[in-house]
Amino acid sequence: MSDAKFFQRGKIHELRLELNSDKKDKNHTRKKATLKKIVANMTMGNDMSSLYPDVIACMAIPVLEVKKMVYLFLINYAKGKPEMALEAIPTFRRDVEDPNPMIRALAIRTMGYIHVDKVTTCLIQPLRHCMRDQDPYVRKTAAVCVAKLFLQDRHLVENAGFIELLRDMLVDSNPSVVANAVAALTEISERSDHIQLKLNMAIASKLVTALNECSEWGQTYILESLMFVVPQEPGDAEMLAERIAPRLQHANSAVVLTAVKVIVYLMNYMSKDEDIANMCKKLSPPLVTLLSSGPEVQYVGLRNILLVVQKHPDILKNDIKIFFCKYNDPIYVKMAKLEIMFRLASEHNVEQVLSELKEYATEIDVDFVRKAVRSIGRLAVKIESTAQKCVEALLELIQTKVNYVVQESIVVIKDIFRKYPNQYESIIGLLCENLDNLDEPEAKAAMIWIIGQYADRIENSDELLEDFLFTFLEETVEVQLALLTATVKLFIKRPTAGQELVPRVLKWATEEVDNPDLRDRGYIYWRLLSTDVAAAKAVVLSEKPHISTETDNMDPVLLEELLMHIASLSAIYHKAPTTFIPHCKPRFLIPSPTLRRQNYGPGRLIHQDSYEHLYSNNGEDEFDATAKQPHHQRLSYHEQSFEQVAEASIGNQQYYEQKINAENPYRTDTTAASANKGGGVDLMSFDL
Amino acid sequence: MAENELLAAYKSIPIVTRTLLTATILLSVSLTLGVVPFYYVHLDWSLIIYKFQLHRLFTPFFISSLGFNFLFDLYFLFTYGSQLESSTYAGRSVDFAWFVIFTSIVSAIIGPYVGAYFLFQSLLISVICLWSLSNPERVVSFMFGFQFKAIYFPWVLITYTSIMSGAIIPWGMLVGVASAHLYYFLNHTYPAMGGPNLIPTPWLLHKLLPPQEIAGARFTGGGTTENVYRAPAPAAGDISSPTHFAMISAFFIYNQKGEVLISRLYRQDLKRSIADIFRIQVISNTDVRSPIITLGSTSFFHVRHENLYIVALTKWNANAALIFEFCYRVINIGRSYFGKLDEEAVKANFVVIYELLDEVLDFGYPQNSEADTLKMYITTESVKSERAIMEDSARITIQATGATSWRRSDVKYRKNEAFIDVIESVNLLLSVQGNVLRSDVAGQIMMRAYLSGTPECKFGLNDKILLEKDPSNRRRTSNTVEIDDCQFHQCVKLGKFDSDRNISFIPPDGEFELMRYRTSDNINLPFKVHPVVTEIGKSKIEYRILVKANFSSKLNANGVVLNIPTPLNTAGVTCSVSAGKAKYVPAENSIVWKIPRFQGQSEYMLTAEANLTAMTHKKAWSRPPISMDFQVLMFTSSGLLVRFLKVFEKSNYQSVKWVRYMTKAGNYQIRF
Repeated sequence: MSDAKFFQRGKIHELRLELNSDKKDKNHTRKKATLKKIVANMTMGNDMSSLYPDVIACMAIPVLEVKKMVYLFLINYAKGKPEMALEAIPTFRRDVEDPNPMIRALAIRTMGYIHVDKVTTCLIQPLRHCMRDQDPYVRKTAAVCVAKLFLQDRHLVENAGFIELLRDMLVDSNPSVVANAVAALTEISERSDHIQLKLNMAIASKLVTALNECSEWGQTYILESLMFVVPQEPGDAEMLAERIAPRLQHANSAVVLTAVKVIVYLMNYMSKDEDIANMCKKLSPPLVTLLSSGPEVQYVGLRNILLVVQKHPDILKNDIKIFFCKYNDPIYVKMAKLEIMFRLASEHNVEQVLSELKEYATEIDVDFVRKAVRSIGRLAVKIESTAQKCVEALLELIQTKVNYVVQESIVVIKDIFRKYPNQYESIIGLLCENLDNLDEPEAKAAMIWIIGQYADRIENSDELLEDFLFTFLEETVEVQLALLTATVKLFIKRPTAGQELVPRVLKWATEEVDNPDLRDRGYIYWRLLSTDVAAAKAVVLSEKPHISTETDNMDPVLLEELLMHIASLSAIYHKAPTTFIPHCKPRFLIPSPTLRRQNYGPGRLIHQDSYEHLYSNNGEDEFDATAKQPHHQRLSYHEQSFEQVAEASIGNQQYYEQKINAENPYRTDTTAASANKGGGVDLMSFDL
Repeated sequence: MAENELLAAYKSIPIVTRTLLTATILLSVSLTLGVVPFYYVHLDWSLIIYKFQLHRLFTPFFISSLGFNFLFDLYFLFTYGSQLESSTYAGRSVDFAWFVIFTSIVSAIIGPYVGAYFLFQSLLISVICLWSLSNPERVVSFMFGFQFKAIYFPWVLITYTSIMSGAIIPWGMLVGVASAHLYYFLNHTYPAMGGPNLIPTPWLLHKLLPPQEIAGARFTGGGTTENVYRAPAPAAGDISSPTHFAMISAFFIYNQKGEVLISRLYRQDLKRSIADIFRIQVISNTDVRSPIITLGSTSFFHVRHENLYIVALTKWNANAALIFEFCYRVINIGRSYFGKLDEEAVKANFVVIYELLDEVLDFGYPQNSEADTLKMYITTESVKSERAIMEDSARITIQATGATSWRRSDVKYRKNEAFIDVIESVNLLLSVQGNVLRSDVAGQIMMRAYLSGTPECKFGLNDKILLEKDPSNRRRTSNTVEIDDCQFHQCVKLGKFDSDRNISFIPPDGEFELMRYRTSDNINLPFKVHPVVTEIGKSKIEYRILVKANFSSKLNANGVVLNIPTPLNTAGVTCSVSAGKAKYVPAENSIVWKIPRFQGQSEYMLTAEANLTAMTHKKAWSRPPISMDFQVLMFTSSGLLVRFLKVFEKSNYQSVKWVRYMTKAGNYQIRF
């Protein structure tokens, strides 16, 4: 029997007539058909709420299918019609007492979805009973229901003993019940100001035992909760990790990635380096296997691998071939792979990587090609022995004359010049052939920088600069700054060639342009040149600090936090969750006697201080789900400040930018000047 | 009677549209008849302000010259006005009225500046424009079947009017388009990005236009109920309000047109209207570059399957892997229930799908989702199942929560059989120089178990690590396979595998994927391909492709297909082959060479010549790799073999086991 025919717009009065018709209705087939029409219309987004009384009347029909449809209707519309929802209460009351456990569970589950105060009040008593029901199906449903209730009335849940009931469920004989209780407790803990989930080793050990018998989703919930274990004794972390490791073989990538998260977290509490190395060995194969799942999961896997290899470079260091792009990979997978390839590139495999990158640079997708070209340049900066080959590859690419490839190449060649001064100047002539094609400010600025830097080697540098200067006033600030500096360099290196240009540029910069940076720089140069040329020379031609690809590395504090969120959205965006999820509790490594020393900057210390402050009065290391936060004032201050930060930046940013996959999100910069630590240059641009 | 019907038809038009239509007809007709003087109705602010001729605020919007175009205009106003009012605004006439008023005010302000004193056209086009913005993907046909997407509709109309009136720019219409876009931005786009709605419908209007009783249906005004058109309010900063919660907040299935086929909200932090945002951001977007889109704090996860979008939403920093796995699982459950999951199947079974979704996802937390267990209590033949559920409920609930949730205990077969299929996909990437860049095998062991009772199975492979552990097998190690990694169905006892590498399990009934494995060592590539491709000048490319089968001559490969890419500017290809058939397929930009049966150790050759048309732009051809497809039965690239499958059951029955091997092409690509 096909229900497709119900997918058409129904008129409300007709539906009402059908529901109330007195015609003989054997087995309620008519009613069922009408209800299906109503559900179909609800799906299509047509407002059916005015049928409320008529649909409620159907609750009396003792057919499960009808009951389920009526419940669906209730869930959809109850909030808008609280008075109507009350009429359903007697039926619910009857159902929670039903001898059939499926019916009891269905009633509890549905009541939890209905956000009407009266219904909630009626739910409390039966829910308590259901949490101790003899049937595990009812108990597991009731566990989730507590989390639902918490969202409606957190004080009720906190004060009416539900937390204790949930806690008792952690040692239930049925694994599904345990898993759902854990899920509910985790969620409550993540949102509550007063409740913080803490698991001691005894409970953790019981949960791990339940892992073996759980459904795959249940395993994920339990693993997730293990993030709240803080190992105190030496050996605890090792033992736990060892017992979790078999999960890495699970077919469900959620289980695998969550297990990876817990193991990476526990490594922070391991004392012996060899244990850590051992665990790292176990992590590699499952991470690679993620790449044989569907493209979406591959993407999730790749973004997380990028995090894991930054913290533990040994993982996957010999598996770079796995990350070579397939021609028909979706673009998001390709982009993520490219990033990992660059990260894993080393002396041993650089030849292969380079030949792959050259291959990608001839593909079609513009962003991908650009990123490939840029990676070639970064590779040259990262690995000295390969610089020559990279430069050759870039020159080949420039010969193709494909506009964006040329521009991208010039941008990275500038970085190569900075890293290896006086080695590759011979190629300048070739670069100069492409001057006319440059239209992107970044490429222009890079080219101008090259001309200025080597003004004395390029015969016609003054002519080239003059060409650029022709449009000085229309250029972007980036290009104008480059032009200003390059002209001054030219003047210092070849006074005769530059003497005509310099005053012109200085005059423009100081009088015609509004940008204060440009104007200030103009004034400084002007004064320097007019008072002390030797000093000017020392300033303008001073030795530049060395650049390296180290600036690509993520801020270690952020990395540490992201590693505690593996598999989650924030690990995909490489953004701390507090930056895009309001009121989310930040996670950080909780000190214990076995915590390995983290040698980060002062930022980490601040975190730990505030942590000590927050948690110092808590109970011992026993499981203490209801521990009241003694300083929750302080905590809410934290939350508030996150919110303020988020709001402030909303004010500044264009709303258009909110879309995460904004254009060209992978742009990175290797110059020291633009090293933007902590702000995350190398991230998907994600503005909130 | 006819008159009554006409009246009923008139009354069935939604109120605001009806008012607009009536006013237009009355005013325009009376103007033409001369009842109302012409100089008395146009828009003139100075007269309004100084002479207090307030009617001039209304009349300009309802004046149109009578004629053929007048009928057209009325038709447009009727169609799009009533569609907007009854479906886009879901009967919230107040909001629609506010839209009309808002755009009219804007037009009246801008109009005089551009010389538009009669604004009926701008009112009409703003209605059309809002309709087209709300239904961007609809196909509109106009003037003798000329078809285009709705989003271009206003512009087509403007062009048409401009041409018909002799290349005069229709300023009035442009003003209307601008005002509609302004409204759409302020009321929809901006709030969708998280901002407040800057132009809420004034309270006064709600008073003036109370909820209407139309054709027996009660529509409510305001936003308390389903809010179809308006974007959701941004997450409030109030901690105690339920604004954001973990896991999956909503689940949708869309068809390719962006119509919602299934919509289920699990948490109160979202409204059904969020569905429109996904349609606009992803389905109507041609360049989607990520399977996850986050707008504000709402994240959309989508997976495409057949002609569907499976979409899950969350407002929390949720486990992305879990959400995607859940989407995959929904697809699998769908397949298991309905054969395949596509638009037709979803529509035909939507009630069952709702039941399933209620069961497998509770408050956004995935629950037991084994199709086999679900089928015990959610079935397509409802009547039969219901009695069963009532009787067996206790058994079902144990099953759905128990340690072996994937198997019923009462399975019975007269003949106990088990079939094992080892299916390997070989992935290959060969460089231009003929080096293997990467090659690996992704294997899958599928099992069909038709075994009674609760059988314990033990399964053995020629796995190197296992065999080396066993001293008696030392000498046979040459015949072993080194498995890089493997993953198992949830029925396999992982702890046991971890300790002694024994694969033991209680299988689900019927077909399931027992394990997946991956190996990259000692792979026997079934086919070798030697391409020689030379570009002769700019007008010709010569191909010589040699394919050799690398497996035993006793075996045969089936369905061998080579896809040999040609440049985009290929005009024609001549090819000759020593076996099979080859032809140029312009739609795929490639030569497709099919060899239905390919014996082991044999080799075949293709020679082809592609003629190119002259190209103006100089972008080089990116030379996509040659890709290959094939199936070889009774052959495994990895060399993997099943050594045993033992079945233990209380009743100690005899069981028959079968094994079959197959190697097929995964990503088999050869660069040239």
